[in-house]
Parts: sequence; structure tokens; C-alpha cells
Amino acid sequence: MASEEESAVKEPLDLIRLSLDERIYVKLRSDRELRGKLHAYDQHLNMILGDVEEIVTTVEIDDETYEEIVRTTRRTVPFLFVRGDGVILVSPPLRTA
Amino acid sequence: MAFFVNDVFANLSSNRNLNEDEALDFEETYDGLGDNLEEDDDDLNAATFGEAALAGLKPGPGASNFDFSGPSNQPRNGQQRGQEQPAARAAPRAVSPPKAVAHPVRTGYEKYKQADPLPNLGVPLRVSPSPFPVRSAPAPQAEPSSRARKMMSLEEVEESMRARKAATPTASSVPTASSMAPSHLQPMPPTFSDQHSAQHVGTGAQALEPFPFGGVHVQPRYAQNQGFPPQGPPRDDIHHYNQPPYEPPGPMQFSAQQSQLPGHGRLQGPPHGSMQNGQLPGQLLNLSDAERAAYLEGEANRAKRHHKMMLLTRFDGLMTPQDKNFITRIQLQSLLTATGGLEEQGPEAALAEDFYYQVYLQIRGPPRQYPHQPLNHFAQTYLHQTAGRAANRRYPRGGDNLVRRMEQQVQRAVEAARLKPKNKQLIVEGSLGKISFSNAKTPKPLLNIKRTDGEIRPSGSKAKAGNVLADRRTVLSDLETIYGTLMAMEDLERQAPPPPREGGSADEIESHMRWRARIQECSEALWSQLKVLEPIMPKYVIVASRKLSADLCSSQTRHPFISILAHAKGKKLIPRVFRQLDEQQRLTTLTMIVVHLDVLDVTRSAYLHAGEVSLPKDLNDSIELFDLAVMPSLFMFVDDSALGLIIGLLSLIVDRVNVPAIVRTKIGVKFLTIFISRAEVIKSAGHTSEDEWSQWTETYDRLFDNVEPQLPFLFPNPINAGEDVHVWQFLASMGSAANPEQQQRLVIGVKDRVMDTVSAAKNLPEEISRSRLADVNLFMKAIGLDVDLLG
Repeated sequence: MASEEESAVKEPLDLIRLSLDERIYVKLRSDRELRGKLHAYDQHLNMILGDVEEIVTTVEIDDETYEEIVRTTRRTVPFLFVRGDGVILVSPPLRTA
Repeated sequence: MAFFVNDVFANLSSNRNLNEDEALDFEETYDGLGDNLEEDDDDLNAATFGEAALAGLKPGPGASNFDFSGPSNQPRNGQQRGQEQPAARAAPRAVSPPKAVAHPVRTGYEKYKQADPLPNLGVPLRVSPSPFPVRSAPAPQAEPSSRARKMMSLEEVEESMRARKAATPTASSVPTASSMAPSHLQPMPPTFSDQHSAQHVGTGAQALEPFPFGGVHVQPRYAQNQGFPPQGPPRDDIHHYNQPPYEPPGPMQFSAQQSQLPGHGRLQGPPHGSMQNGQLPGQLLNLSDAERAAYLEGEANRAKRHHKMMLLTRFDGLMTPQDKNFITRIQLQSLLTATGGLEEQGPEAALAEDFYYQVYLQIRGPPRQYPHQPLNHFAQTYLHQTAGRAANRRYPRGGDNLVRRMEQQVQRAVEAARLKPKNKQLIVEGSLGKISFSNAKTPKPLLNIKRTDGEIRPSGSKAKAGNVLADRRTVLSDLETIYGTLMAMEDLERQAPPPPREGGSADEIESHMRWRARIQECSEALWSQLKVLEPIMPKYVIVASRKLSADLCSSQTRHPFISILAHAKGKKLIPRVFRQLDEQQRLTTLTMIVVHLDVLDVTRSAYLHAGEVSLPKDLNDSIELFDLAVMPSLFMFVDDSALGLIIGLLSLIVDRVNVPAIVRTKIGVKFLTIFISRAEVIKSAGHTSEDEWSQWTETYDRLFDNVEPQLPFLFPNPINAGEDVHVWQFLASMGSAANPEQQQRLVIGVKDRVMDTVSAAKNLPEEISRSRLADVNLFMKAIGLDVDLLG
């Protein structure tokens, strides 16, 4: 199987190439996550994603009780450019099944 | 005479411009000049003009000039000045048609000023000395300063402009005249007067008369006529204007010419003068108010036009032909360096410029065999064209040379650009290292990674015994490999050398053969990478549970090609791959798809279970994509196939595929429709043998038997949802291929749906209703019925 991949995968970034046109999961700085279809990427991990669901997690501290309130905001974007400097990890979508 | 003229126009002007500051205007126009004139050599006037003329003129300037100088009007002062400047000023002044004309003309400009208050624009001052020589000749040094002091009036702008225009064609004559006029005239008034007096004496009293009047004017006019013959329109204006700008050369030339040809020049001068010069003042005097107004109007318009022209042509001739040539050369050089750069990097660089266009052309349009070829010739063509044009138009004589020189330079530039990349390294003798050059196009390589030619590697090694587990990653990397090969092939296609012609050089043929070999190699690699020929696995149990396409290849063993097809990019691959495959490979591919028709992600469970209204979006999307990407290629292939092939494929379906399952899916139904309707087309064409035909009927019967129990479940969704066109199409093809007995069974099978649809259509809006009925009619007509019969 290693020989199978040899041709297409020569360096780490080539693994991402396998996910072209597939849905991927991207974790970004400042508690953001994206799920969407990878249309294109480059060596900086700048990416073009389609049909993206963005999840932003914010933690607020309640003024009175000092409790942490974790809030997630979701939104969907049909087409998105992701600048590579914010990318922490890229993976195939997490298997739910 | 002169003062009378002045008076008239003074009144006129003051009448016409009541709201103007008359005093100020007057000062502007005349004060400096008057002052300058005072210091002149008046003592010679008597000799020049004669006592009579002086006596007549004396009161004139005083009375008229200072009449309208406003509040500062002092008779005493006027007297003084009038006495102080007897004749010398009278020469310019009293001979004053220019003045007289200038005055009304000025009013004309005032109007112009009011209407369109354009600021005075810097007119090059180098021409300024020339316009006023007669008036300023006496004191040229004072003149410029006074002019500089005040804003230039439009009139002056006008004059200098015209002077400039006139100056351009006869660049040699006028500048000298203007530059010499002051210096020449100033120190030698005696000569001037002496000559004239001598002449006058010679010709007698008769000569005295015309001279003060016309002499000065006439001569310039004469000079103009002689000196600027090529100038058409401007001269026309000059005549009407009768303004002093052209007088500068006058005295000069006059004196020079006269001194040499006393008789000739003088005799010629006066008649001209009396005729032409008398024209304007005389005309103006005789004009009625209305005519005068019209005349002034005309003047204003003309002035306006001139001003505009001046604005327009202000930057004309900024660049000399040499300048333009130079710029062109620079542009051409950079152009050629660019193309030269393309040369050095091969066709890829050309592609980089417009890759998508090239690819589009390749896939869609007629193949453009040599995408970079025109670029090579572009510069040369351009050069020749411009060369021809330039030689014809701009440089009648010297142009050819310039262009040739330019061509040579360009050639050299190209040569240099070609040579440059060849020595990327410079090894200085005796040094230990070498210096490598880099530029924007060929950056210095920091890493030198030898790429193994993995993508085009023959797959023999890969065809391992045993079945490869088509797990997700393998499929994905297979896909990437295929894409890599495919792109390499498409690249090769773009770089195709011209097909060898008869009598082509051995080199050409060889390069073509090499290219053919590489294409061949690629296509073999591609074929093996598609893994169509991997052994077909024994059928596994179809799990009825719905799985998404992504999961399809996760755990189960599947044929790799079908796994590839399960991915969206795999589906998109098909049309591109089909272009590269040969007939046999296409058939194999189609067969492979047909055999697995019931396990494709788009058919496996792409039908609605009880209670479901629509398929999951992902599945719908992939069905859509399959329909758009894969079906057309297959359809086109089937459309060219013979009946035998269709029979084979259809029997494959009947024998090996779960027909009851696939007829409930859109893609499955479409496949069947394609096959049956192709067979029908062949049948109607009538080229079938009996044997083949009976074979077909037999296959069809088997199919029909398989399909019949499913007829009530063919329709994917409730009646109102629409989207059942493909089913009606399928039924239509089935119906047309069926025998009467089968048709009856068909009708019985779908009768309920037909009736339901027809009745439902009655409650639908007009348009939707019509389209629904048309769908149903597809089927109805195929079996010889019509929806309308159902009432």
C-alpha cells in the first residue's frame, strides 16, 4: 500500500491533495472550526472551501458569578477563502458513524 | 484722420462695455506703450513724415487718447504728451489702423472674456518680442517688463499665438527678425529714417503720402504674403484682424530691402498698402452699428476658436519623432525579452500566461496545435507592419534607416535573451566556486529534488495478485495519480509537434514519433491506473441500509474502479478520461460500469423507502453529478454502438444486475432507457439481421419480465413532486420496443399513475400542468395513445 501512495504522496502537503474535492475539517486559531469541501489549497495552506459550516466557540465570563459561559456560533458560507496563517490542522471529516 | 478713428472707437467701446472698468482697460492696453513711445526720437519725425502730417496728427493722440482715460483726464497733461510725442509716435500711433482696429477688437475680446472667462494661459514668452515690434520698437527693453508686469490680455495671448503659429513654418526667418528687430532698430533710427527720407526725396512728394499711412503696414503685409505662403487659414485671419503682430519683420525687412532695392520695394509697397490697409479702417468706419456688431462678434468667435485651438495644440510636438522612436524601441525590446523568456522555458511558460484558456480550448474548441507558435512570430510581424507604416507615413526619407536600425536592435535583444539562459553559471577562472545567475523567470534553485517519474510509471508492477483493499485513502491516492497522469497527457497534447507532412525533415518526424511514444506510454499508464481491469470481485450481499458515498469504500471490498467512481472527483474524471481512451477501453469501462450498475453509489440505494419524500442531499448531489458528468460520455459511446453490443450489455444487466433494484433509481432507469432507445433507433434504421433481432427481442423480453413487477414502484416520489420525466422516458422506450401484449401489460402496470397524474395536472397551474401531461404523453404516444383520449 505504501507503494500505492508513493506516486501521489511525496511530502506531507500531498496528503491534503488527496482531500481535494472532498469534505474536510479545518481547525483554525481563535477557536474556529470549518467543515467544507476543499476546492483548492496552496503551500501556505490557504484554502478555498465550498459549502462551509463555520463554528466559532467563544468563552465569556459572567460578570457576577464568574462562571464561564461557552457559546458556539454556527453559520454556513457557500464559498470561503481561508488564509493559511490561521490554520492549525486539516483532516478528513471526523467520522460520526 | 487717426484721432478721428480713435475717437469713434473709443466711444463705441465705452458704449458697448458700460460695465467694464474702462479706465483700467485702457491703462492696461495703452499706458505702457504710450510711456514707452515718449522717449523716442521725435526730432526725426519731421524729416520722415513731413510737417503737414505732423500738424494734422498732433492734436489727435492728445485729445482722443486721454479722453477716455477716465477721472485722471487732464487737458494739461494731454497737451504735454501730445506735444512731446509728435511724429515718432505718430508713426505707429497715428498710422493707427492697428490701434483703431485693436480697440474694437479689444471690445470683442472683452465680450469673449465675459462669456467664457478662460484664464490666460502661459504662452511661451519666447515669441512675445515679435508681436509688437512696431509699437514697441522704440523702446523694446521697457516693453517686456511692462508686459510681464500685467497679466496678459486675451488679445495679447491671441497675438502671440498667431505669431507663434506663423513662426513655426518659417522658423528661420521670423526668429531672426524678431530677435534682431529691437537691437537693430534701437541703435540705428537714423539709418532707418535716412533711408526712407532718401527714398522719399527721390520719389518726390507723392511718396510721402502713402508712406505714413501704409508704409509700415503694407510692408509687413507684403512680407507676410511672401514669407508665409504655405499658411492658409491663419493668413486669412490676419487680413481681417489687421493687427500689428506681423509688423515686426516689417520695418526690418523694409529697411533691408529698401536699402538694396529702393525703387522696387517702395513702388510695390504703397499700392498694396493703400488697397489692403484701407480696407479695414475704412470698412469699420463705414459700417453700420449692426454690421459692426456682427463684425465684432465674428472677431470674438474667431478669437475663441483660436484660443481653443491653442489649448488643444498646446502639447503638440512635445515629442520629436526620435523620441517616439526611442519609446517604441524600448517597448519592443521588453516585449521581445518577454517572448525570449518564453522561448527559453519552453511551452509551459506560454501556458502559464493563459492556462485556463488553453485548457478550455483543448477540451471545448478545435485543438490549437501550436499555442506558442504565434507568439514567436508576433514581434516580427509587428515590426514589419510598423516598419512599413512608419516608412510610408512618418519618415519619408530617414525613416527606413531608423526602422532598420530598430529591427537590428530587436534582433540583437532576442539573441541576447536566447543566449542568456544557456550560461546560468559563471565560473571565474581560478576561483573555487561558481556564480549562478538568477532572474525573475529562472530563480536560482535552492533545492534540487529529482522527481521520479512516478506518475507515468507503467503499472505492471502495480498489478499485484490478489485484490487490493480499496480503502478510502488508496482510492483517493489512486484518484490523484490518475489526475496526475491525465494532466500530463493533456500537457503532452498541448505540446504536440506538428504532424509529420510528406517530405518533412527527419527531425520533425522523429520528434513526432517521440511524442507519440510518450502519449502512448501515458495512456497505458492511465488505463492501468483506472484499474478497470482489476478482477471483478464476487458479488457481495447488498446491504439495504443507506450509506453515503463517502462511506461506500470505507470497509467493504469493492472494485477499485467503482470505488473511484464513488467520489465526486472520480465522476468528474470520466469525461476527461474518455477523451484519452480508445474504443476498446471505452467499451471495457462502460461494461464495467454496467456490470456494477446496482452497486454504484448512485444506484445502490438511491430509491425512496416507504415514508420518505426525498433522497438525502449528498446522494442527490452525486446522482446529479453522475448524470451530468458520466452519462453524456457513456451516452455518446452507446449512441455509436452496434446492436450486438447493446444486446450484450443489456443481457449483462439482466443476468448479473439486480434489475428490480436499479429500475427504481434514476441512473439505472437512464441506463436502460439509453440501451433500449438505441436499439429502437437501430431497428428503425433497418440494418439489422434477423438473427440479431430475435436475440434482441429475447433479451428485451427477459428485461420486461424483470421490470414488470416493479412497474408500480418505478416512480420515485409522489405525484406532486414532479421529477419523474426519466421514468416516463423509460416507459416510453419500453413501450416502443414492446410487442402489443407487453404494451398492454405496461399500461396495466402504470395505469394508476397515469390517471393520477392526469387528474392531478388539472388542479395545477397551466404551465406545470402542461409539462406534466407532456411527460405522460411521452409514454402514451409510444404505445399509440394520447393523454387527450383520457379526457
